[in-house]
Amino acid sequence: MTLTNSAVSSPAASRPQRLYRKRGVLPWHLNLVRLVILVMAAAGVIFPIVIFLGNSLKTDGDFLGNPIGWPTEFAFGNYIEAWQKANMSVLIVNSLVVSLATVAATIILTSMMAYGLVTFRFRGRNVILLSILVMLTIPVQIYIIPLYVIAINLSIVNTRLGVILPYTAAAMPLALVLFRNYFLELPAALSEAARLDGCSRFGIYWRIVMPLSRPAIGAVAIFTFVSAWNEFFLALVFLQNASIQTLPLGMQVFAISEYQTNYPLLFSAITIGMAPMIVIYLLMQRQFISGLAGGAMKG
Amino acid sequence: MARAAMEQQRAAYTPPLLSSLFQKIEPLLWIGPGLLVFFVFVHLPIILQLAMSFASGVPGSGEGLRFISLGNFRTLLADVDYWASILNNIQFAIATVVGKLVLSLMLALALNSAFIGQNIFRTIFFLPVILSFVAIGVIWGFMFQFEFGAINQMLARLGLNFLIEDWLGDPRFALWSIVVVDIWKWTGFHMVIYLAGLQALPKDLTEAASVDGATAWQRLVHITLPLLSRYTATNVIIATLGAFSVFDLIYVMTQGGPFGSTQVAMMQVYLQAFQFHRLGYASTQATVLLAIIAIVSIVVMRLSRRPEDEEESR
Repeated sequence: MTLTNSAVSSPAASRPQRLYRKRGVLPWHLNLVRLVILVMAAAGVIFPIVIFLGNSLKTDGDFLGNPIGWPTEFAFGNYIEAWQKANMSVLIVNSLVVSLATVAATIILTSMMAYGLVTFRFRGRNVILLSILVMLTIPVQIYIIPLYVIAINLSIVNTRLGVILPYTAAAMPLALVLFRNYFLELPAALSEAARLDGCSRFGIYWRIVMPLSRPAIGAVAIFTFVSAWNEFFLALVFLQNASIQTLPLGMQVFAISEYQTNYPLLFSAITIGMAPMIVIYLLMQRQFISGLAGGAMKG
Repeated sequence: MARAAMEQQRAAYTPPLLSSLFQKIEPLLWIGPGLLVFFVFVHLPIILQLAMSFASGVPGSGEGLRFISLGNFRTLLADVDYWASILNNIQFAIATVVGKLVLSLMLALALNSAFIGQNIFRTIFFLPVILSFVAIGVIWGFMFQFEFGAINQMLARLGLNFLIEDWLGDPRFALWSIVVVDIWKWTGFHMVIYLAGLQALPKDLTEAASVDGATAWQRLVHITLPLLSRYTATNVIIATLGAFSVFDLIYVMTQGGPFGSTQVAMMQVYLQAFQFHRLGYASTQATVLLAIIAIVSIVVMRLSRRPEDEEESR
């Protein structure tokens, strides 16, 4: 602390500019250490995925004789067989339906809620807000049992709705924080002007507030989509019927049936399952990283 | 300010006689639908969870809920498996939280000042975050596999045969192998949070310190780390919550085995509830877990709140 204070009070402006910049930069050997650390870490992250992809392209015999080398011949047929055997088209469609429905429900319900909480003053407003925000740190897993009981009583176990609604509810606290912060910062003059022009309250929300909130909508859409797409536990408990199972669940079922029988086939199926998310991520990595990690910081 | 303006605006435009009823219920129309979903699928489960912890039977079923007071908690105290799994869970939590924090901070520091390739590294480090645990479980299941697994195969090629182990099949290593995978998955996430913190640091502070002759290490320990404490707290809380509710990875990779060495709290809850159908008892286990999570996050938040932050937030 003393160091900080003396640093602040020292008249920096009077010092020569060159010395200043030179001292701030790391010496070359530290820069080298830094590069080595980064390259090694990147290799560590990538290696399991690369070797996995390589093995997904081997024949079973090739894999057993040579599990860590590059394929001697490319067995692209694995992918076709895996696609059919693991019922990939059904799984991907199911996951898309569930994830997109969750994203839509979360955005609509939560943005309306945030708009209502920002626009109106009424008794119990803070209680409602707080009662949702406290749940920010509580993982869904923790209340899976009563959730299951409720789902049985609503007869939504084994339906897509049975996971869509809990996913939506689980996404709400973080989405509410993001929407509310965003709405609070929108200039009040805008909606005021619209009001003068005879715009209804819903009109203001739909035609002015929402279009202006695209960054918030984007962030909510990304974290909701990724968590719904990858969610496993609720799906495991709620979706017993094979025809509505989502991708992670279907991959797990396939993994159990193929493990130790045909590794390359299993690896191909998993690769197909990972591919959509990886492609979207690489296309929009900036938005993904800020959408997934940025929300955590505001929460 | 904004709120006052909105108030004014509302008062100005609402026709006085037309619909005071509508005015009364309008907030409800905006908030109601979302709140209903949230209540039914979050609030109600948590309330029910607490109720079920003190009961046996299932609410809404033929059996009904029967209040048995602290019966479940008594069973829990004597449940050796549960406490063993909590102990595993605590080891898992400490190892993953420390591992993720140290590695993510190192990577964030290494990546902080701009240079070519920063974006590529960031994209690579963050990649595991978007993968599902099922995919990760299969990827790393192969890495750790005894016979064909990449790790043992490489050790054999390097002539390090004495290091070959059955990573997931040996009770001594299984939990630590899963710790490695969990760190691999989340380090990029925590790194991005630290990067945001580093980017928000006042640059003149570290520069001034270096002018005053502070070494890189001194600057890190005395200036950078204290200023990052809020981000450290965020990272610790997120990592701890994840560690105490870990399920997917364990279920996919070891199912709690071998010999219970990777049993964790959520695995126990799952087994009790959905294998043995003891919903009341499983709720008690989950409630205790919830209490642990709540206590840990409150403690961390308290510890990380420093006087300067309080002033800032006012």
